[in-house]
Amino acid sequence: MQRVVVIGGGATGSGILRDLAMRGIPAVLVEQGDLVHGTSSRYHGLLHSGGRYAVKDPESARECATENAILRRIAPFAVEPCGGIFLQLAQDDPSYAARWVSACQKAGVAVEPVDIERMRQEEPGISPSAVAAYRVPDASVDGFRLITGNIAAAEALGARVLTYHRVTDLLIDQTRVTGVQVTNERTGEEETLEADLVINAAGAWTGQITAMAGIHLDLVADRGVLLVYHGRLTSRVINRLRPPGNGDIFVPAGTVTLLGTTATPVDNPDNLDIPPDEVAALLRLGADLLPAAATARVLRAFAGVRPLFKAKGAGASTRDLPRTYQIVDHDVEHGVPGLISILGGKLTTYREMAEKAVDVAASHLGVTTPCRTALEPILPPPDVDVVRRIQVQVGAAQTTALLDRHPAGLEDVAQALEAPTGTEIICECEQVTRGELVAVAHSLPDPSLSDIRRRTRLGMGTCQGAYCGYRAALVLAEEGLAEPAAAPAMMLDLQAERWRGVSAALPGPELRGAELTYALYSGLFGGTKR
Amino acid sequence: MKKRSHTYDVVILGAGLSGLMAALGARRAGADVAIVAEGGGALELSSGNIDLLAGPWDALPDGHPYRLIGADAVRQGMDEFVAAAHAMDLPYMEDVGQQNQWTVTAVGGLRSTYLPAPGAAVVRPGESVQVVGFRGLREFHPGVVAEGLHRAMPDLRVTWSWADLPEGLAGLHTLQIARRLEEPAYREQLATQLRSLNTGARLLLAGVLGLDNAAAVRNDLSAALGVPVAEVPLLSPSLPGLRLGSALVRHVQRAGADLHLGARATGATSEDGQVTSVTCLTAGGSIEYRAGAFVLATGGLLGRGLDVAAPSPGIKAAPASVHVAAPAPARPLHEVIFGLPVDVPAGPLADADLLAPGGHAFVRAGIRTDAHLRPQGWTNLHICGKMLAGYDPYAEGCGGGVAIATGWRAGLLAGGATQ
Repeated sequence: MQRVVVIGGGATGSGILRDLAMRGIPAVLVEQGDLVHGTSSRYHGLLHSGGRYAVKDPESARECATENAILRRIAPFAVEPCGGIFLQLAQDDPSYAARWVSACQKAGVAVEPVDIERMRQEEPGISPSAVAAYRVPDASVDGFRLITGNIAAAEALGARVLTYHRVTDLLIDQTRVTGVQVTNERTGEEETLEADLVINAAGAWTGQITAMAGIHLDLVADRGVLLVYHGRLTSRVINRLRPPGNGDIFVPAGTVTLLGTTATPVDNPDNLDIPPDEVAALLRLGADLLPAAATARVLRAFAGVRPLFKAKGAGASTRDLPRTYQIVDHDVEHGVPGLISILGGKLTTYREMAEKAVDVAASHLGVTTPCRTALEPILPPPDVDVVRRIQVQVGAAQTTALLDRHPAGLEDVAQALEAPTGTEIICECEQVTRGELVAVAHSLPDPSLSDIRRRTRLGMGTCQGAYCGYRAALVLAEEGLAEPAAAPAMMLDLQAERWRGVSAALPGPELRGAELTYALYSGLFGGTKR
Repeated sequence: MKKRSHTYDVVILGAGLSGLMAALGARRAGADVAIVAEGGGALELSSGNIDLLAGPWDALPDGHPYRLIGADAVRQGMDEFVAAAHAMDLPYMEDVGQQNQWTVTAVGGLRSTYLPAPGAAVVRPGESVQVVGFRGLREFHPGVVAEGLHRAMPDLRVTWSWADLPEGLAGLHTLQIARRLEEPAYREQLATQLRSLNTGARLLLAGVLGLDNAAAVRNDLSAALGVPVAEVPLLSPSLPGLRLGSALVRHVQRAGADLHLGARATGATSEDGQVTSVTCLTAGGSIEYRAGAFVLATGGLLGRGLDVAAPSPGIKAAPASVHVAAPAPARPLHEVIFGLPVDVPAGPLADADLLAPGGHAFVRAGIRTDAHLRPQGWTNLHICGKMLAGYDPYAEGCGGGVAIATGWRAGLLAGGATQ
């Protein structure tokens, strides 16, 4: 039996699961949706250097600087070390730069001034009003790959994972938490999972879990809206050198560029609305840094919810709340043994958060094995033979993409590619083959196209799944991986999800693409019962 | 180089369904006509079925193109289309006494339409059909279609199966398969393959049955198998739409209109509300088109007749000290040739639900006109099809009808204005 139940399949929960597994503590992770259902996939993908927080939140900056270096080492499959710069614009407060540089140095953030004219040659898109630039070790990190890597490592050591399992209640004996009650969201079945300890890493949903034990935490769900631009507008992360605000970070990631973010407190962590005024503000602010962003093609908008907590004396704006984290041992704080919660934090520092949480758990369980998560790579290097087999099928460039997308389960991908039509392209933008699609679908129970999209990037390019989602659903039916009767709903579900992001980002140059999608899908589904 | 120049009575900009109908209308009025267009319109995305109207006429909003030209003009345009289609051997058939008929979509949905394309899979309750797909044609799965049909029309008797294409054509593009099927010997082989599957039910096949000789392909298969054969259109390219486009182009040329493709209109000149010329860029240089009247049939957003705000000035051109402010266009759409004002509905541009019953505001954007389809202040410029404001062809099920009726009307008016 598991000794620990971990709630939440985001970065923190998956990091905790790996840490527990490496310390030999049997555990099961439960997640209400797919892995990375929440904020760990709904952010800008920035692996912080710490620069952003240096002035206002030096503790968070220091944590970021340390963890940034660790993650580059242990998770090369998820990190694109593109580097970053902070740009000082003529219209911003010139005195801030000096304060910022000194704060970075104090917090251990490597910062180096670079000649602005040289930077203009390297990054021709930056604003003509940029007057100074500083290099920092920012990077882009794929949250989905990071989490699936941690999960694969934990599973290899015997940990278990239950996705689409929602925690409906905590099991409580007297005052002690003794496990969780979960509902399988796919089948509706209920199940109880008993454990010595429950670790609540539910991110923005943390307060909903503690409320089941009658514990009220002062948490804030802070919604951020982001834009996804077609193509790479820059080759590195571009930050605006001023106190952190809206629309001041561009992060290139794969074939797209993200612009983040806004910050609006919301009542409910499931509130992922995308207000038009926030989209308009981002478009305007983004163009301050990169003028071409005013007319570049926006593929979609999306929203994520930051889990922040209110420290003493915090100001009114959520921008003033700390980005650091806190481990709450509810035995000590509230007289409720058996429950530990992690509040706040950032994806960049997920590993340290997991380490500290598992330290507390280990002391309760009497385990003295030290944490080794910073010392060992999350995954072993890929098997050379498997890599060669994939290269034979799809060539070197695409092999690199597949190695990154599938840090675990590569052997299955190789085998599926070797099937007669395995290399047929299903999604042109992201070069997703039939073999990759089949291998991923095989590895999941009853997958949706969104589950597949997160693992392959299918549907994340120009057509936003209008063509490739249609094809993928038919291929899954053909391969016996989906019921033919279910295929239309699969493609429509993917489009409904994509459309929420596309429609929120209008108007933009993508209006034509939006009409094309609308025309195609009303042609397929219009006039029929839905 | 001296700019080349052509003069016509009527110049039509755009060669989609509405532009081609406008050419027929202008020819009927006796005008000397040229169609000038960059490409061939959006028919390759179309099922080839012609929608007229899904809901009741009385529910049409004010300013809808049908209301502008009136029911009689709509009727007249549709009659002219049906007559033209018969003349080009595409027998579009109205179902007398019925408003609409049910056609099968590529996912087994049922879509109501007024004029199904010839050979389109139209189904009626109680009948038996067999859906057949071709192995290796990834755009079509017969089981998906059959299961969808079964849900949409429970008393239809549906079976499904896969067939192999002769000579192992798996993996070929839709158009390549369609061309092969134009060869009588090849379709004889296909009939042989299909014979073993034959259950006596009507066959609904994946929509690859020929391009220009589709009727012969269907008839031969049908004769060889002893059952009627119909086609389910694919998502894209959709052959029934392509067939209509190419047949209509030939028909319009036979009717005496000149067709100039590969010509992108870049600007216009005018005097006192009269368009005097339109300049087009072609591979061979710039050409000026002069005419007594012009028809704008450039297809809205999909046809690039409407575009989003002009691109920003080159970044490097800006002096280093100047801060470039981002444009914040309240009404971001513009009409690309004449710079006509574009009517964009107030409020959100799109519903968050892709298939919202009320449709999406951004597709209602377009040019407002008078009953003669002229924008305010212009005397010899007529607008038709998707360039017109005030309708959502997808939600209202009226795309084909509006293109045909306003195209015909605009052509007649432009042609008459020159007499």
